[in-house]
Amino acid sequence: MRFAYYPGCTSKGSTREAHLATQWLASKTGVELEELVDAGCCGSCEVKAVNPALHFMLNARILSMAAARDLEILTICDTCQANLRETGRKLTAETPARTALVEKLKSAGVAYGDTPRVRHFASILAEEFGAAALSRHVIRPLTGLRVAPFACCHAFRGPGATPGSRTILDELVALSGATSVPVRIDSDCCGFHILMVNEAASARTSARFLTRCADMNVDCVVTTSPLCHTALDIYQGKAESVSGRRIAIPVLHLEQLLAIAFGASVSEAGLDRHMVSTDGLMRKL
Amino acid sequence: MTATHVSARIYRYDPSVDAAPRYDTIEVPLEPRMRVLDVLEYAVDHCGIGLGFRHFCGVKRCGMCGVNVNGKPTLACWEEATPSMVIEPLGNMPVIRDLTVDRGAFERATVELEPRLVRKAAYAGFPEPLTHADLQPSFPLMNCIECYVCSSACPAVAATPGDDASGHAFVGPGSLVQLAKVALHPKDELDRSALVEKAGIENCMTCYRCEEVCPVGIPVVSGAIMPLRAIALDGPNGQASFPRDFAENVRANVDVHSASLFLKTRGFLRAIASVPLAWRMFVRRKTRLFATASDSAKRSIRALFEAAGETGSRR
Repeated sequence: MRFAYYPGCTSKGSTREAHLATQWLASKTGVELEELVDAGCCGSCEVKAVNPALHFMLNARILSMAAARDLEILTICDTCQANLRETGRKLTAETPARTALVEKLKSAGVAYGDTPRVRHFASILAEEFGAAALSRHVIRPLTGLRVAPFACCHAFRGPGATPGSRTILDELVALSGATSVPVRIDSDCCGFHILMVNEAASARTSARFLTRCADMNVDCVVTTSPLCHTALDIYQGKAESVSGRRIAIPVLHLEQLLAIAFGASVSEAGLDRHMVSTDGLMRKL
Repeated sequence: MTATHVSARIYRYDPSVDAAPRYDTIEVPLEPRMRVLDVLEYAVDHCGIGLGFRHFCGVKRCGMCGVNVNGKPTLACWEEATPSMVIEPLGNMPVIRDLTVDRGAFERATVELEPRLVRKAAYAGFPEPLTHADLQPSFPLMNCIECYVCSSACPAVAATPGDDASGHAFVGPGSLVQLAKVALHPKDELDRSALVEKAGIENCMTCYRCEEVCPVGIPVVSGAIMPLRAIALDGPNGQASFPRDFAENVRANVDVHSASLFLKTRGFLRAIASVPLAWRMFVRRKTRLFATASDSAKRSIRALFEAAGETGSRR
């Protein structure tokens, strides 16, 4: 099973542990990753506000790189996934908008042909292997660990939503042996997308979720999004400042949680690269 | 077995007399096609509780009957009654009594955004030439019934309390739909960038919760907020120019280079305050100091910007 691997900007920068855990987990499950080097940014939620055509063109370029290799795309970021899916949908229907975009792409040296399928690693694991087959890899069941799944908004709502993506996260947490604690409510958001412009409001938003995690004695949060991870882990100190509460709850990428259950070491799973220490968490296992 | 009754736990609170909110539980015979609004009417007529709630048309037009049903913000007149329900007031608004909330802050914010067409030239008279294509950006927003269910569920509204208790620094998606309705109308000639800045649009977290809960299916983020963000890029205060900084960072680096974007957005002095955080990130190997894209990738990305007509300068 071979995929065009699009890690996204964040997982090659400030959440590099997601990239490391993904590589470990892929090798463990027999998933081959061919990284799309130089694929560039998907535009996040910003480029579409500046120039919608450019937003679609950046994503179409990424899609075309995978199509040229005749591979489906594997992402590890829900926002990248949503942008690529939204673009794929736009460029699949024969519309004047599609024709105009394809022409513009051509003038910029990008030949757009087929639209490859785009899936998050979590969806690929759940859909291609299934819980039963994945369970066979579990050599360190996370029994007794109280995990709060944090599904990224972009996975399940908005123009690039992936139906069923919330339950996939819960299913994968369950197969690790951990106990899912339903802390996240529908109006929760990690606040990532306003981190740069309004850090206090972003921290108040993440604090609403994180303090509830503390109230419910959660051992760790697990997310499928490196952007949510950034807001919940790197900026957890800010959430503590605005809420006046000590939180100190580690936040894991789903790939890390599974890697740990499948026997990866702390450094293989990149748990030593977090801002909120994972030492206490590892002692519980 | 088919349920024969609705068991509804209903939020009760009168801030003028009650020390704290409580819940009353009522049993209501479940009728076919029963709505939440029918349950509330039954509670008043047959259960002897003087429940406070607001409604008018009963057919999803007036936008008055918003409530939370099992945590989902919705319209009582359009939501199906289920055998087990918790009915609570909408969030992000003060409770007047029970399920009746004070929508005043959102309504005032809408009015302050001047949601009316402003022409520079005199009205040319009827009929004005206007095509479907011209109206297309504004048209879906005209379905908004101003129920503020979206604003009640918005995490950015909750996170941006204003200077006084009555308002929010971010006006919320409901008011922005009303602003976008005119700002995207082909006959509107007012430069609305200052108004969009005043709305605090940079606080939108793009979580799409508003689109998810909208009872009439308005594309709140993609159809209203994104186009308004484009207008606000060139606002007089420059407070909402972040998307352009982001795009220019992509043009220069192919992948986003977050350290330089941080410096550009925060400015040197405010960035200094984040030095301790940056240092800890460095120690935890979370910092990519240099962009790594190849020259050919940079050329390719620059070609896309040019083909999309993105000059990077103010319009």
